[in-house]
Amino acid sequence: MWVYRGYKNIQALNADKPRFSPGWAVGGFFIPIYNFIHPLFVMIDLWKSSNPLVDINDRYSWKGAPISLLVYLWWLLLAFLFVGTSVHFMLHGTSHYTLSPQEIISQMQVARVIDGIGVIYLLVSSILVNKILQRQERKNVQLVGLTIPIDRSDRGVSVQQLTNGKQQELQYEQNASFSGSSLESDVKQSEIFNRRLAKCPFCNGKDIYDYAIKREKSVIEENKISYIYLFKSACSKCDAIWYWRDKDTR
Amino acid sequence: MEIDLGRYRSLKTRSGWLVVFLMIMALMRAWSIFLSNAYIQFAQRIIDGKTVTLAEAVDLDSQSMSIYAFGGIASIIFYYHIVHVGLQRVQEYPSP
Repeated sequence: MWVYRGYKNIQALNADKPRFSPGWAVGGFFIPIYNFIHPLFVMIDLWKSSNPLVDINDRYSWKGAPISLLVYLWWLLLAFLFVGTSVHFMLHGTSHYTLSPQEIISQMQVARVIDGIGVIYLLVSSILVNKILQRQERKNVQLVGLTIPIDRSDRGVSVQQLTNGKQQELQYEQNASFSGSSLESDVKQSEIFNRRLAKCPFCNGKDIYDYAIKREKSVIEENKISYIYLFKSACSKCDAIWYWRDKDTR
Repeated sequence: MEIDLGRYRSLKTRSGWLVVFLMIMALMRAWSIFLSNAYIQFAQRIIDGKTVTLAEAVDLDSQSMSIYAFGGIASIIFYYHIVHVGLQRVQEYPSP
C-alpha cells in the first residue's frame, strides 16, 4: 500500500514517466529472482521524483536528480538479507534436532549475524520511509503554494463576522461558487472565510486563514451532492501560502 | 503549468503504520539474536560436558516458536489495518 500510494504520487508531484505503473511497482516484489533488484528501482524512482530541488516546471527534470547513498545502503542490506537468508536456509534448513552441538553453534552464529544485519536493515528502512514521506510532502507544498505572494489587505476583514456559524457558511458558499478567471484574481476577490488553529506546514505557527477559491466539480454519490473546493490557506506567522482541496457533501 | 493537485495523497498515515511494523520486526530480530546466544550457550554446555535438562531445551524451542507467533500476529494486524484503513480512505481528500 505504501509503495502503491507513494508511486501514484509521483505523477501528482509533476514527475512524468516513472519506470513502472503503481500496480507494477507493487507487483514486481512478487516476481521471483527479479524481486532481488526491483526494490532498488522502486526506491530510486520514489527518491528522485520527490526531490524538491529540481525544476518543478519540467516534468522530466527529476530523472537527473541525485540518488542518496541511503537508498543504495538500504538495497545492499536487503540484498545481503536476501542472499544470506537463502544460503543459510539451504545449508542449515534442517531441524536442529539432528545437528551436533558444534553444528548448532555454527548455525546460530550465522543466524546471529543475519539477524543483526536484519535489525540494521529495518532501522534504515524506517529512516528511508520517513525521508521519502518528508520529501514528497515538501515537494507537494512547493508545487501548490510557490508563487503567489500573500496579500495582507484582505486579512481581518471578516474574521469578526465569522464567529456566527451561519454567516460563515453563507460566505463559504459565496466564495466557493464563483468561477473566476485566474487563481490570483480569485484570491483578491475572496474574503477570509475561516480562521483556525491549525499547524502551519512551514513554521509550526498555529494561526491559519482559509480562503475558498472556487468550486471545481460536483459529484453525485448516493443521492448526495459532493462539491470539491479549492482552498488557499495562509499562515499569519510566516506568510506562507498553499493550496489544497477538500470535499463537501450536502 | 497544469498540476492535478487532487491526485496527491499524503503518505503520513501509511508511513506511520509502516514504521511501527518495521520496528516490531526489528524487535523480533533483536529477540532472535538473544535466542541464538542462548542456543550457543546451551550447545557449549553440552560440549563442555555440563548438565543440561530437557526443560531448558523445550524452553528455548518455545521461545523460538513465540518469535514466529509474535511476527505472525503483528503481520495480521498490520495487513488488516492496511486493508481496513485503505478502504475507508478511498474517498478522502487531504490537505497538505
